[in-house]
Amino acid sequence: MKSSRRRLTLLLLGGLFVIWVLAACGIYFSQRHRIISDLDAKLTLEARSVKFAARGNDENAPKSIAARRLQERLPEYDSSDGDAFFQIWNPAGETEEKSASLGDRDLPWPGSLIGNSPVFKTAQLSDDVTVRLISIRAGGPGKAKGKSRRSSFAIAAIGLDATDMQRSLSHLMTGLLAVGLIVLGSTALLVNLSLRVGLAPIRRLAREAGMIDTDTLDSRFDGEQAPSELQPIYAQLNELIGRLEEGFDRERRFSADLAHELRTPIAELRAISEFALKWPEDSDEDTREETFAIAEQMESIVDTLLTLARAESGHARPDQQPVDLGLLVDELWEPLRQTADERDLLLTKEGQPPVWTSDKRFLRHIIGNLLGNGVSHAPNGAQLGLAWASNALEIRNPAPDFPSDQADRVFDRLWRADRSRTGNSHSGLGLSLARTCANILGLELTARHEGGDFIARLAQPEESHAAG
Amino acid sequence: MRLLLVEDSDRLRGIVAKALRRTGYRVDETGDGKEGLDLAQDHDYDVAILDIMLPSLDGLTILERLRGDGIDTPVIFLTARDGIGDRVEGLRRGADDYLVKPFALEELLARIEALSRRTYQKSSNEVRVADLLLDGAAKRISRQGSPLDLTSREYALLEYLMLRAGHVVSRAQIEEHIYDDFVNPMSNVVDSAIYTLRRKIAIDADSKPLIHTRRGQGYILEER
Repeated sequence: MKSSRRRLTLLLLGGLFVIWVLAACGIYFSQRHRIISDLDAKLTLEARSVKFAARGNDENAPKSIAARRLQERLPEYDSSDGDAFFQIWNPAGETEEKSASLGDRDLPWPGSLIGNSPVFKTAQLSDDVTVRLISIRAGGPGKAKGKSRRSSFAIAAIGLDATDMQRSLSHLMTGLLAVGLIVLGSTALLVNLSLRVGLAPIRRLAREAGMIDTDTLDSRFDGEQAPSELQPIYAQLNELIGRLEEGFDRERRFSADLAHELRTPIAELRAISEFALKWPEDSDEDTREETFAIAEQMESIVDTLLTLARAESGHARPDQQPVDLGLLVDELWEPLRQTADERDLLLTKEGQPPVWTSDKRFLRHIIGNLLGNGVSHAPNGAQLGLAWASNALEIRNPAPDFPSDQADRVFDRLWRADRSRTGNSHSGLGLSLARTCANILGLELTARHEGGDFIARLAQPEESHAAG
Repeated sequence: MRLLLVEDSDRLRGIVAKALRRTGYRVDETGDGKEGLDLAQDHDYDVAILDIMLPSLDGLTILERLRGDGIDTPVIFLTARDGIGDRVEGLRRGADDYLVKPFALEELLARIEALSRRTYQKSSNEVRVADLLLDGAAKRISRQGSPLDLTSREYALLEYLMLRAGHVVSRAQIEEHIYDDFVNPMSNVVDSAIYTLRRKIAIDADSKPLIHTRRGQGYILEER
């Protein structure tokens, strides 16, 4: 498993290491440059003296003069354990003179120098002695007449012991490495500690999330104390739990509704079956027909609840198309006609049916339920009124015993105004489904009780109508 | 015995009433709460079976009104409401039993029998009067060990008399508990049923008569 903490630690330490290496190199090389520059300045000074000496009047001994001058200036040249060295060569590369400090050692031959510019270099004089050298042409064009100019110069190399410089640089390097390691180690600890402290809210969040299960979906993460960087995560998680809670509630409601609605038909089915088993001689055609009717009722309940659950879950998307409401009502009235005729109900229509741009499937559920409701609840011989307007339709049926203050409750799940009439054929879910469908279509489905009539109204919202 | 069944599901009410009648009970049934209350107030039922969610008046209110009027008819609630709270509320309001849908018919019948026994202060399904033995579970009555061949109505009548052994039972009471409302008050249906019953329980010439007539009062079942 990838650990963010490990990745962050490695990234931070890697970055710090690179920065430290660059910084250490910068310090080291600037220090080295400074030390070498100081040494080179000293060597340059010595070299100038040598040059000056080499321009003396004694044409035959420019090298000796230079050597003497050098020896005068720096007693270290004379001492066998001195830390200053010089060596003078003739142009052919033969040693003319060298300091006593060199003993039997030689400075490296600098070769034929081109021009008068000094050449600096660091060389190893012996295993334990490092020298910094300046090589110059000493002497040069003299004032003597009749003498070849070429014979009047020599090659001189002046060196200073640079072992201390090397040692200092070596110590500096060691120091830098040690400090670097200490800093890296400390940083690793600090980063670890910081990440532990910094990631504590995430661990708390994980703990809180671990405590949430299907029974505690009503709880929310308390992001009050959380760092501002985590606030959006808390907000998103709370929204996610909200959606989950809604989904679970829907599922629970579906299960509860299903269980409740199926209890009575199952009880009927069980009682009929038990009766038929106990008294088979009394079981007749009616019993079989009733069994079939119960099966149909159960199927209808399950279908309605599933449709309602799907509609509420937001999976149902309306497919907008022109729908002639007049034709739709005719189509929906057809299967109700027989019941209406049996109960001597008359459907009257008023106004011109409009054409709405909407989803026919959902409109079928809505208007079908309203018509079915009217047919089921209107008293025998009553008149069902259907009134059209361009943006609304109203279905009215006489309902003298309806509790007038409870008209809007007809859209509550399982609410029934008069169970004696709806006992076996209606579940109390139809109008709830109708309102859910209306909401999906952006329509308003309302109900009122007026003058002894129950009136259901399906309307387009004002702005939609104005726009349409 | 006479039962009241108030259940708004037509089909369930129909089949339960059919089963109860087939078992030998006289059953009054309705799907409306108000009508159920009227029936319970007007008649002396051995047991009332009530649904809770009813049109016009719910079962709990019916029970409350009955108890308020001093009517202590044993009541069984028959309902889809299965929450513990619902059961507790029903029992606390004075119900004697509570059965959740779907239920087994046999269980309902057994519970009705149990409540009936309580009404007649019997602790067992068996009732013995002289050499008559009533087995409530088997719905069988025997004399001297020989089962009597009775129709369901004859069984119900003899059971009623046995449960009230030693007490005079009027013709009106018999009509009320055993026969339907449409029995003509002027008919002699009770007398002829008693006559038939006397004949059937007289299994041999030595059998003592157990059903006696009290002139102007009714009938009494006892050993003399």
